Amino acid sequence: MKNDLQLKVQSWLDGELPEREARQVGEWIARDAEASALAAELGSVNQAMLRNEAGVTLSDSREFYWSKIELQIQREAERNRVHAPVPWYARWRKFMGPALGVAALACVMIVAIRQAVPPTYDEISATIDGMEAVTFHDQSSQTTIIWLQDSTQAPMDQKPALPSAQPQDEPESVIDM
Amino acid sequence: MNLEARLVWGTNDEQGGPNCKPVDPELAATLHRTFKWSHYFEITNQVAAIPEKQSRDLRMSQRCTLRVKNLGGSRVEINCIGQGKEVHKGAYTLTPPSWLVLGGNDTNNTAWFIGLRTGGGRAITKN
Amino acid sequence: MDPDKSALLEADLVRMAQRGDMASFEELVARYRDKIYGRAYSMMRHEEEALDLSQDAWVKGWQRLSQFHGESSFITWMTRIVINLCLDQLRKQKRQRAESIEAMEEEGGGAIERRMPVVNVNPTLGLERAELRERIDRALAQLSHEHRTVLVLHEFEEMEYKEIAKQMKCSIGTVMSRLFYARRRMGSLLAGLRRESSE
Repeated sequence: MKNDLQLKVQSWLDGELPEREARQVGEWIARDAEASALAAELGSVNQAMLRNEAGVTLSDSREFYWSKIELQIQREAERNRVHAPVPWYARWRKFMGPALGVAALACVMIVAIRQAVPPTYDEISATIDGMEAVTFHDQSSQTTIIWLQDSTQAPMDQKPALPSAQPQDEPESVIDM
Repeated sequence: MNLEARLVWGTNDEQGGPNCKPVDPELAATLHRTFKWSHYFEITNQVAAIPEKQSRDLRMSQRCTLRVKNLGGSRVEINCIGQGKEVHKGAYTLTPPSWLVLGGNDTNNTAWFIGLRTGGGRAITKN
Repeated sequence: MDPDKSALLEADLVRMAQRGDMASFEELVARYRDKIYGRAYSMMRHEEEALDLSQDAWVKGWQRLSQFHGESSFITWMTRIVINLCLDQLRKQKRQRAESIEAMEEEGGGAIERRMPVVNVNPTLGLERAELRERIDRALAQLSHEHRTVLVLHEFEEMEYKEIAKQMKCSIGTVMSRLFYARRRMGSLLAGLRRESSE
């Protein structure tokens, strides 16, 4: 059977033919054994796959999976904010800025004096180029988790130096005893 | 501040290999709840008494040293140094008995974790 | 996390998310993350890549929420986003890797598959559903990216030829050829897997 006829059988099976052509092709398939067999074969694959996709479940916890999304959303929002055109009223900030800054500093100093203990926020100060840190809290165990991930596409031997916990093949242990 | 640091390996292999021990149950529960690997093995366990405003280096493996500075008030600065390079630095609050966990991907679809916690005023027994 | 969100209807969550309520969007992510990740994995066949692409899809979904007007279900809309990202990634990878002769042969529609005798026995007859799903998954893994993609989009996503052509940035004729090849190859792989298990 020529290829264009084979594809016609497939199109008929998938309901992709115009109504008149579909009727004609259907009649031909009914009379032609080879076409009929091909339609049955393609149809059996179609029927087998329909609603038989293997389901997969993510094993990462809800919080962990979400934390990376949230970080990326915030990063993108910040990037857009930095590159956004400056509205006219914002230009007044350069005149008001110093006065506002002094007022803000006064507020911070008052708050700091009132606080007897240091603030408890977590602060990421630096991560090597090519890496990023995702931080989130597991509320149920009150655990803080910091996940360091490689943000480059470099091959393994060119990636930033990373800790490893892999047990070594050679007799000596990972830790120098 | 008495600090405890454990290097943990996350893997789907049942056999951990030489020098691998079972992980502290609380830490294991946290790791299982959050991450996808089915087995976690402790590779090393380091303890140190760190006076306020001072720092200590904890050698977790041939490739990783943790420099921990006691900032006072349960706050620590953690500097994760991999192969001589500063990989990550951050300031965190350690509230016993909770763990602070650093982690990242390792080769062959495994992961490394460093669990940190303080024992408050109690002495911590090294395994 | 607001525990009440889990009882909310999808339409309400979408509406609130469109107004900037990230907690509502997070609830949507929690509900559909497996499906979106599963679609990415079915196309990429690589866990880490699928994970990254699924998360990229959610980020894009958040950014484009104002463009969702309810013409399709939310999950259908999100699935289209992750499919686009996967196709972009596959195109980038294709440019980077050398074309194998086999891949070029498959691209042309498979001269061998055109001449193959028809498989008369239904290769999936008598299989339990779980076993069938597992075999389909194994067979899909053996196809090239292009043929797996066209099968996934047509058989799992039930997209029409025209829509597949638009997604894959190729002609309808190419879609038809690839689908034909992929189905015959899939039939042959399933029959082969059935023979293996009976030996």
